[in-house]
Amino acid sequence: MASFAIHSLHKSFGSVKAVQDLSFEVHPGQVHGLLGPNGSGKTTTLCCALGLMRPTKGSVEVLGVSSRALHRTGGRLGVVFDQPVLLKRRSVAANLAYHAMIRGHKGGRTHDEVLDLVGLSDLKKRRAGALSLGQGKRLALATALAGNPELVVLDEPLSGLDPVGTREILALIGKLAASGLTLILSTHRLHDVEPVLTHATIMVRGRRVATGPLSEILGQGEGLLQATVQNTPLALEALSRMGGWQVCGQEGSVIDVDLGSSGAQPSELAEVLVKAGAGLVRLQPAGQRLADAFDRLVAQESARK
Amino acid sequence: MTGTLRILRSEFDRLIRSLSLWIVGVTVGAVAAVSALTSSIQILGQGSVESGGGWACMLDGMRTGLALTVFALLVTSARSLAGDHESGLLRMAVTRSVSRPALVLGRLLIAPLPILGGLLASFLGAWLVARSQLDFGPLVEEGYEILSAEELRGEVALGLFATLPALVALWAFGLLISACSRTAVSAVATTLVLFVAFDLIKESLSQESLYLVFASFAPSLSDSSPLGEAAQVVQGFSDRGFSDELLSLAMWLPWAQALLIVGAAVAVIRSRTL
Repeated sequence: MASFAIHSLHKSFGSVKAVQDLSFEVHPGQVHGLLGPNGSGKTTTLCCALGLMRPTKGSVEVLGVSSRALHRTGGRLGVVFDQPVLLKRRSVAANLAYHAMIRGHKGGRTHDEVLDLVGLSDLKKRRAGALSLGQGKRLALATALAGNPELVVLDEPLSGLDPVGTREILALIGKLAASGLTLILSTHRLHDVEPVLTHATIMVRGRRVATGPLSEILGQGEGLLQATVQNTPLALEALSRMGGWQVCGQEGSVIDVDLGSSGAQPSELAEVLVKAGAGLVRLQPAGQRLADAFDRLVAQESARK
Repeated sequence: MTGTLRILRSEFDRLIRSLSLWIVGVTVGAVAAVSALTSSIQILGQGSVESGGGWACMLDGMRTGLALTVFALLVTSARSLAGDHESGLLRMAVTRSVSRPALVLGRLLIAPLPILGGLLASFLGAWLVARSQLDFGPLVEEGYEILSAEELRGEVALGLFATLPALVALWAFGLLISACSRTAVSAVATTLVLFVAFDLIKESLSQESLYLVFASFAPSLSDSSPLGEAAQVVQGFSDRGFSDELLSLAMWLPWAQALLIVGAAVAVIRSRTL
């Protein structure tokens, strides 16, 4: 059974369609990224999924419970919001105690274990208001982890963090993922989260443009080639004359070409470049990163529109 | 139900650790004491009361203390849901085993704590001063016993008992405004403006229409509460005091209106985006 399942979710604010026909599932053990630029509908999706906002259409189930009745998940869900929800005048330990009081379910990790896990053992007597942003985020994560949840949802876990804070949070997420915890991360910082994700759903303008294992999303760009040439203008001219493929990027002497569904073979591309006298130095598959895949998907979505 | 109890417990924890609420409690006691002191000076100055002046003195102090308590209750309840919405605590609670209605019900059930706290502070401040200045015997003026000590005690108890439901309804009213507001500041401002506005137009209302609103039974700047009437009775004004019909109205009407208000607050919280 899916830990988190969204079916045909729609959310409109007046005439603005914030989320359109979104569906995806997250299964136990996955680290699933809900990715997209600002304004793509990630936070609206999470708000609907967490029962904070009523969807216009569609349904969401979290740990087998409808999103409007999340209190029935019985403490199996942990959520960390963009802005840490902390009692700033109370100590780190007192914040954990307060959150445990609201959660109500006993058992699972002790507070000391959780503080140890997030690396705040030495600061448990410090006031929450005196913590740095990164430490505050770790404390917020600690409040979500106490009680041994099965699923933890993190909304923009890296927002506002400096490189050191980012590394700390990512290391912590990596540690949690290794322990088998199911995680959902909503973020636009693709480059940072790529190493910890196993799956992703990419959203653009409220629509899902890709979902599935990360390897599949990256693999969707198999037709991408990178040509290094000596004469870039000549190469670009030759490529534009011949149809079928698409130049999707160029930096200096390196040109990214998407063979896409043209059916063309890399050898044909090489032949065109050689014949044009562009001085082909190297032709290789483009090393896809999540950010590249994201750019390609956004471009495809824009072209589709 | 367990969610309601968890919210009740967490609110209790926050209230008793709130320094500002302790300061308010001490202020209420001090204001009640000052009011009782000025009242005692007045009673002693008139010289007509030979015995039992402590009752009127104490009730004057308590009325002032409770009027201040009313404002503190309104501010605290109005800040409650809206403030926690702003800080994200409501979001956090609904994703952690607490239903939306429990957010309101837990905060409603905490009402006796600040109400009884305000009552106790008012009583202590006023009683200590009244006790030191005057006596709590039968009310005797110019040699005549107007009311026995038992009767006076009964009037005070009845006045207090009939005033308390209105305080619960006021707390519920603050919660409703809080549930409807986006920010704590707007919730507090709206609640106070509505209460003071009603206080200002109270005197132009007929008695029939005045006592159809729970707020009329609460001590305020323009006091029409059962406690206010009791304060007149213990001074020997035999034409004052609530009729039996009004007393019974004071006992049930605020409860009924509080239930409706809480129902509305729950409906608002159930439907709004958190």
